[in-house]
Formats: sequence, structure tokens, C-alpha cells
Amino acid sequence: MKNGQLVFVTYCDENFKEGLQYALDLARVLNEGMTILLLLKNKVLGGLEKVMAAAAFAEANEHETALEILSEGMGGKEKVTALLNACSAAGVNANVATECRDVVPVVKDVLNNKQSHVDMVILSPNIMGDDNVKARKFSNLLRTASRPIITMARQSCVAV
Amino acid sequence: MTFGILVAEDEEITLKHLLSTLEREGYEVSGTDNGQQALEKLENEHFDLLIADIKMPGLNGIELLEKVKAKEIETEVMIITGFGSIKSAVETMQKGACDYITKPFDLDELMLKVKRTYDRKVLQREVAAFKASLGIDKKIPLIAKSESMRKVFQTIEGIKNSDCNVLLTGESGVGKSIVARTIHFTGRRKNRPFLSINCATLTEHLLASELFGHEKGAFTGAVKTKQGLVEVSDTGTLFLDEIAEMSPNMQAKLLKVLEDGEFYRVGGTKPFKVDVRFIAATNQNISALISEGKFRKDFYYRLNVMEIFIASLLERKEDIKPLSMYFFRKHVTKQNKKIKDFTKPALEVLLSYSFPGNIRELENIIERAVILEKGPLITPESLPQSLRIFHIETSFESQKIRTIDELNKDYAEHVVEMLDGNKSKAAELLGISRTSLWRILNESQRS
Repeated sequence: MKNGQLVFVTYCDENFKEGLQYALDLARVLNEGMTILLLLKNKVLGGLEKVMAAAAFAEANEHETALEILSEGMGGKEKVTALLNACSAAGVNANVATECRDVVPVVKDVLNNKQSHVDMVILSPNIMGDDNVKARKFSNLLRTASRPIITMARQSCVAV
Repeated sequence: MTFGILVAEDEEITLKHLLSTLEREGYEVSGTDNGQQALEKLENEHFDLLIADIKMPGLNGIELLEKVKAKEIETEVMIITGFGSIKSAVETMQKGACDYITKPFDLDELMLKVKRTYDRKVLQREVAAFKASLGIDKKIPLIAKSESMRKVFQTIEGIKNSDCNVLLTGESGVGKSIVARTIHFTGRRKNRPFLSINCATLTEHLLASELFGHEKGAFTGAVKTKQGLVEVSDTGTLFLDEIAEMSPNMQAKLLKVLEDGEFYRVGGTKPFKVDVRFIAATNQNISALISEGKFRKDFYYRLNVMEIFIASLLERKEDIKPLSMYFFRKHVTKQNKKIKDFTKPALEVLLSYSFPGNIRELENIIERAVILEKGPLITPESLPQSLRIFHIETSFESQKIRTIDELNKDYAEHVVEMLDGNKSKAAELLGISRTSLWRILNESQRS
């Protein structure tokens, strides 16, 4: 007994839930389960970005904002719980997996895994808004993918 | 249940007598002394039964019966014939009358025959309601303007009256089950059973039991003998959805039915012979599954006598508008709303969206919009927020430009298959070394 799966790929940052509602609606319409792939960005770089942003606010005497930035966000566990709760509230069977690699090799592996029943992959707006994703590699992935890849971009930053 | 009876009899006393007796029994009655007038009444009002005398001015009973059948008026006809006129009685039955009664008739006998017709009508209505509740007899119109769907319609037209098995392919939500129903309900098996099963939702053992039935005591819990879907759909059509999810073991069992029309119930020793048309559907690439050994080649060739590919909605954008209007009217009626149309921006949002969930998703979006909309027109605000705030695109097969490597690989695979897997011969014919052939065939895995 097997069910098709939608794979929702998102970064594990503050916008990790952006686009999730759309993915859940689609899973419900297609009567399929969902796998959420949480991609962990390079922690060193991510941490540095956070500290730099906090420092900039601190220099502008916005100490409260700086403190908020440093302490913001949920931990990984809370994010996974929040995602699973959202899925179960929508009545969609879901599981969450984490990956520490770039989006292109992760999606390639997902599509090449013959044991999984992936019907389509949905890339969240925070993935599409990431300037670090190499456009050439990404368009190559879209061109050669064996199953449909749905890209969600914020209206202001339509990419690729 | 109300049961309307029209009596057509030229003898005034007999007509009055019949009408008063039938009315006393609780039937809704109406009478006329002329065959032509009876026909006009039948065309304008609904009657469940027509009791007509064989000799009448205007149209006689036989002519009236012929007209009723020719105009496909859904009324049963009972003919009153002259005493001893067996020949005309036989003729009326051959022409489609439900019963006849000879003059001079016994009222009790007539009432008994009317009651029998009433019971049959009640049963017919119950069966129709039951079928509708199970979705067995659900006819859904095919709506499309695109060239690709026009070709699908032509193919359906060509195969609907044959018994060939059909394989429907296409993405989830494109309407494969609707096409399957259309093939059945427009073909010569339309009055026979149409049953469907989703092969992905059951385990192998349950699927075997559902398809072939089981004998009492075949396994724990088999407390009585059960007929399977293959047996029940005898002389009809069995729709196997998501066929690619069926295990090779089950495929082998079903292959026997496809080849010989013969099967055994689970735990049974007696073979059963059936005449079933199979329509299967999948959203997967069966050729790839065959090469991976997950799908039997012989089973595939038996199923794939005729393959119908249904394109995704993204590939036939011209169908979005007519389908939107169809679902709009359907849900406006269902929800009893007074919405008149879509606003232009709302229609633009729909036309610019790629619908990865295909027609199923389109219907869902429109149903939701009809429920949410409070004004006279569907506005973009009633459509899902994601469609408005995100730019959503779908990559799909036919948009892709194939690389030289992909073309090389496909051609090499084709040649190897043509030579029954003889790679040395294939390399020789292709004019390359065996190593180069190996490299081409394994290109995608390496990359």
C-alpha cells in the first residue's frame, strides 16, 4: 500500500512556513502525503549574518531590536513540531527530514530515489529568493527533472 | 411514491370506470378517448404508465406504442386487446409493451398487472438511486476545446464500441477516471456494470480478495463466500486506477484474466469465466518501471492495446476557461448562490496559474471561490491567497529541451531493446565500442 508524496523544500529560517499552506492545499487536492525537507543553511555564515545585523542595529542605538535578532527564531525541534502540527491540522500525512546540503543536489537525490513515490517537488519562496542558489545549476535541474518541480517566488522577486 | 397513469380508451363508460377504479387505488390518473391526444399528453406531462386500447380514433394502440418508443418517452405501456386476439398481444409485447390485457377484462386482474408495473418502477428508481449514491452510474461530461483533447475524444469515439483494453496515462488530476467512465457509458456496455478500484490503496492480499473474491474459510475472517469485482463486473467494465502500484505477483494473476477471461476466487478451486473490459490508469512512466522490473512486460502489452494520453492542464491552457465556467455553474447551482460571472482580474489569475494539481485543483479553487464570494462576481480576493502573492510555476516534460546525451541514451536503449538486449550487436550496429555503449546507457546515473 503506497501513496504518492509531495516534497516541500524550505530553508530552516524565520520564513520556513512561507508557502506551506499552498503545499498543504495541493496535497489535499491530490490526496497525497507530504515530505518536508528542511534545509539547514551554512551555520557559520548564517550566524555571522545574524550577528552583523544585530551589530548594525546596536550601532544605531536600536538595542532592543538587536537583542531580538540575536534571540529570535525557534530551535530546530520547535520548527519541526510546528510544521507537523500545521500538517496534521490540515489533515495531511507528513514527515519532516533535514538536510545540510544545497538545494540542487538534495532535490536531485529526492528525484533519483526509486524507492520513494515522489509525484512533485515544491520549492518554497525562501528557496527561490535565495541569491546563493546558482541559476545555471538550478535551471539545469528544472530542465532535466523527471517529475514536475513547482517554484514559488514572491511576486517582487520572480527568479530563474 | 406518486405513480401517474394515463388511460387512452375510446369507449366512454369503460374509460370512466377505469379512471375511478384506479383513482380509488391511490394512483394519479388522467384519461383521453383519442390516441393522438394521448401522445400529446405524454409529450407534455410525465406518466409512469399508459393503458391504451388497441382500437382508437386518431392513433391506434399499436401506433401509439410505436410513437412512445420512437420518441424515447419514459412511460411503460400496457395494451388492452380484443378478446382472444393473441396475435396482436404478441405483437404488442414484441414492440415493447410491458403487459397486455384482453377484453372483457377482469378489474382485479388489471389492478394486479398495474401493481406489478408499479413495483417494477419502484425497484428501478431504487436501483438508480443506489447506483448514483455509489457513483456507479455517474456520467460526467467531458469539457475541452484544446486540440489534444479533441484527439482524445476522437480516440474514445473509435474504441467505445470495441472490447479492447485501454491504458490511460497522464498526471494526477487530469481526468483519467472521467475518460474511463465516458468510454464505458458511451459504448455498447453502457447498461452493464462499471466498477472501479484504486490499486494503490490496498495491500496485495486485500486487493486479491477485492478483485477475485474469496471462498468461505479461505482465510481468518472469511466467514462467507464473497464475489470479487472481476466477477461482479462480468459483461461490463472494470477500471483499475493507479495500476503501476500493483505488485508483479498480482499482475501475474490478473494477466490470466486478461488472456483467458478466467480466474479463481481466493481459496477456491473452481475456475470462473468472465467477459470484462479492463481500463487501467497510471500517472507513472510504465516503460521505466518495466526496465526496473517492477512492471511485467506481458501484462503491459495486454493492457496497452490502446493507450490514451491525457495532457496536463498546463499543456492545454485553452481548456482553463471552459472548465472554469463549467465548475462555476456547477457550484453556483449546488451552493444556491446568485453569482453571475468572474471578474476579468480573477479570470486572469486563473489563466496565468500553472495548475500542478490539474483539473481537480481547478475545481477545488472554484468551489472555494463560490463559497467565499459574497458579491455578484468572483473577484481575485476569493481565490487562494498563494495564487495572488506568489508567482507559481511548474516545470514539465514537454517544455524541456532534451540534451544530446539524453537523445543518445534513448536511441541506444531503443536499439538494445530491438536486439533483445544484445549489447555487443547493438554497439556494432551503432558503430561504437561496447564500452562507449555502456557509458551512454549509464549516462544519467553517472551524472
